[in-house]
This record gives sequence, C-alpha cells and structure tokens, in this order.
Amino acid sequence: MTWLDLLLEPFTYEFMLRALAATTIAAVVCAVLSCWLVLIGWSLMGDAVAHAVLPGVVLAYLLGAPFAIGALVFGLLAVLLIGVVRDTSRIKEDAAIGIVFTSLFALGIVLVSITPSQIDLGHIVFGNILGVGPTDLLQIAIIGAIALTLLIVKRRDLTLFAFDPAHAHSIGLSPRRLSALLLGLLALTAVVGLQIVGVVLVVALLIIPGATARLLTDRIQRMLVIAPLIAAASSLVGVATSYYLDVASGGAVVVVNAIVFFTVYLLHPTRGLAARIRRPLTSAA
Amino acid sequence: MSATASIRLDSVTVRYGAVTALDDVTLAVAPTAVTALVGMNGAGKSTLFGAITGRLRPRRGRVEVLGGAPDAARRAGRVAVMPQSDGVDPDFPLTVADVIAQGRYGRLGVTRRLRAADRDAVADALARVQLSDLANRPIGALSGGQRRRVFVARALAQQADVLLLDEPYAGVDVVSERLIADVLADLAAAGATVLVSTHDLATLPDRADRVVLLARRLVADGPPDEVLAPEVLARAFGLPRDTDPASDTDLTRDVDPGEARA
Repeated sequence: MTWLDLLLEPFTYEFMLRALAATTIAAVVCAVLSCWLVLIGWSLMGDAVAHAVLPGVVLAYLLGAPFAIGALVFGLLAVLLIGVVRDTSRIKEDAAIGIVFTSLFALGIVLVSITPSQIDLGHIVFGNILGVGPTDLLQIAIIGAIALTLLIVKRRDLTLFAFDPAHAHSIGLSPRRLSALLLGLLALTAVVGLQIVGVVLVVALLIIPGATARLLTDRIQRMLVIAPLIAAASSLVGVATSYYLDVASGGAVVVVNAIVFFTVYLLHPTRGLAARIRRPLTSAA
Repeated sequence: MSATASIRLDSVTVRYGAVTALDDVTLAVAPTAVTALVGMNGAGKSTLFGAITGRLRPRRGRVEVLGGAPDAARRAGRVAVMPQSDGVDPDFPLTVADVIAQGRYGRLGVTRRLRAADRDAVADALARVQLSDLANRPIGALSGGQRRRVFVARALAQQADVLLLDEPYAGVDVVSERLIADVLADLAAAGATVLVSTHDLATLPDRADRVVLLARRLVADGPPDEVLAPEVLARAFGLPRDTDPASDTDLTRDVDPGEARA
C-alpha cells in the first residue's frame, strides 16, 4: 500500500468523498478571497463577517429561505453597522468591529436557543464536515462557483482596489462598489465555510492560505494560484488524517493549514525566520 | 489664458466638519504648462486635488474640469492622479509593469485584460521613465525614486489630458527628480495640463512655468520669480521672515530667499 493509497482510501466511502468535496470547495474559495483580505488588512473584517452571519442563517432556516441570503443580508448589515459606529462616534474601528460582530453573534445564539430543535449550535460553531448531505454539497458548490467566478473575473479590479483605491477612483471605477463586492463575497464565502469548519475556524481559511502565499511570492497573480493549491492539499490531508486519527475534521484541516504556514514562515530559504537568523552569521564569516 | 483653461475653480470653499480646508479659491489652470501648487502641510493642496477629481464636494463655489463636471472628466479617464508616496503599500506584491498597466484599466473591458495597444502604451511609459529593464521587478525591490517613476509612468500610460501629482519630488533621488521633471515638461509641451504640488522651492523656477501659493486661500499666483519673492512667501506662510526654524515643516526650512531665487 503506497502513501497515496493510504491518503485516498477513506474516500471510498461516499460520505467521506462528499465531505472532502465540500471542504475543498469551501477552502479554495476562502483561499482566493484570503489573498486580498491579507493585503488590504481586512483579516479582522473576515472574522467579524463570519460571526455576524449567524442570525441571518438562523432566520433563513426559520423562514425556509436559502442560508446564503440570510448570511448575505447579515454580513452586509454587520459591515454597514461597523462603518456607522466608527464614523459617527469616538469609537475606533477595532472596537466597532468587536462590538458589532459579537452582538450579532450573540443574537444568533439567542435565536438558535429559541428555535425548535433542528439547528445544532455545535455544528454551526464547530462545523460538521462529515454530516454534509447531497443537498448541502450542491448548495456549497453553487455558491462556491458563483463566488469564485466573480472573484476571478474582477481580480484585477480587486487588486487595484487593495493596492490604490484612490487611483481606482481617479480612473472612473468605484472603490465603494468594489469594497461592497468584496464584502458581499466574504459574507457568501463565510456561509459556505461555516457549514464545513464552523464559525470559529472559518476565519483560519479566510486568512492562513493567503498569508502563506504572501510569504512565498512577490506577485499577486501567483498568490492567487498558490493559496488555493495549499488550501486544497490541506483539505485532503486534513480530512484523511481526521479519518485515521478519529479527530475533529474541521480542526484537522485548519491544523494542516497552520503547519504549512509555520513551515514556510520558519524554513523559507531566503525570507524564513531560520534564514534571517543565520544570515548575519554567514555574512560575518 | 483663462479662456482656454482646462481646470477652473470659481470661489471654491471646502470644509471638513468645522475646519475650512479651502477658502474661496478662484483659479484657472491652463494646458501646455506645468503649474506648481505650493503650500505647507494643511494648506489645502491635497484638498484642492480632491475637489478637482470630484472626491470632495465644495461647500460653496464651482469646479470645472475640461469644460464639464469633475466627475465626468474623471469617469472618462481624462484625469490622472499620482498619489503621495505614503498613500500606498510600497511592498505590495505587484511588478512594475503590473502597476503601470493599471493606468489603462479605464479603457479596458470587464476583466481588464490588456490588448496590444495597451501593452505598447505600458512599454512606452516604461521607456520614458527609464525603467524598461525593471519591468518584471516587484515594486518592493525598487528604491523610493524608482517607485515614484513607476507612478509617473502609470499616469503616462493613462494618456490623460490633466495630470495631478501630489509631492512627486518628496524623498526622491536627484536622478529620478530630474527625470520626472523632464517627463512632465515634455507632457506639458505636448498639450497636457500638469499640476504639481510641492514644497521644494529651491528648484521650482526650473520645474514650473507658473506657481500658485496656497495657504487655505490663494495667496499668490504668477511666474516663479515673482511669486517666490521673499515678501510674498512671508505673506503666504503668515510668518515674518527668518522666524524660529523650530516652527515646523520642511517648508519653513526651504524658504531661504536666496536659494529660492537662484
């Protein structure tokens, strides 16, 4: 039995294959988005939106509407509220983010607790990779495809927005619209990721792959390829590991992503921490 | 001159809340000349640029760019703006050619894919700022002066009729400074309207055809040798000459009348 066989064996089970497909789709979309979030400095915004969509998801469930719509409404509401609190009071942005997302998340928890049984808070908070059914997978695939298509088509505009919004404005683009697009896609992506790894860990998928890619290259075009590749590979290894070790799948996927990040951070041949520490010694020699 | 002005401000007042950043400024800027906008930090230079691009709405007065509203000129891609050096992340993962290509985005389709004509414009802009060899270098690997030249090249690639450059010479090496000044002079000679904000009074006479002194209000306006006379400068900055040099900003240090006239 080769390593590859070992890696792929769990996926002879249909539920495992479904789990892998859903995880990979969610991780890849999050990874592409993470490149811009990391460059703009919006990591915390990713965290906020991921938490803030909870009441939207619960309300959508109660009304029988698609989760994505509830998530979108509350994700954008959160962003709007953060902006309003920041701009119309003496509260700074980090505090405004903290206030808004915890308030909405708390509202979500309260709504869950008064909702007749079916919603399992544990699944929303920590994800439920192995419980992904065929309809869930279809929904994840559709939302993922929409988000990914928009991100790819508008990638140059998003990069310009991240780099120099004033120039974007001066050549007739609308930075406000581009920021709304990015935040809307963030809300959509958060709802996909949240079904897989849960509200708490979706942030990891929205930050780590982009950060790892940033350490590996000086070109955003390459980041946009490297980040999803790392995320997809980490999904495969993470889900397979969780099968053999019988550990939480969402946690395993994020741990693998983190191991990749810290390996690069420490061991990158020129920019890694080890190389930085060694350099003064070798140059002195 | 005013009959053919490409930028026209008519009694423009801009406020941020209770703070008046520009107070009743009337100004007409003509094409085929480099006009320098001189003033201390907080004198309203960036605010004036904001009013010209339509980013800021005047509380009172009217702004006209290329015979129409600022927004119309901007949406048509006819106004190029070069940001201050601290306005962008200098280590952003883009190459020199990537950044210059952004000057073309306004003309491109939804995915902003470059066509042959756009690649030519990028190559031409690269050559004019003498960075052709560094086209594929990440901007984080450039010197400050080279990076300024990249942004000048982006404005060139845009082929705009009006160029607004915010402190293009701040913290720039001598070679880059001369190169940028030459490029701007060529552009003006070819018919563009070039408006440059600067506090580099020492070399201003060589760099500009006209100097506008701004201290929230318009203080002086004319050829460099008239406007840079010591009495005018003293009035502009509200200080008697030879005051305490500790009274802040690069500008007060640069206001050495002998040097300014040289």
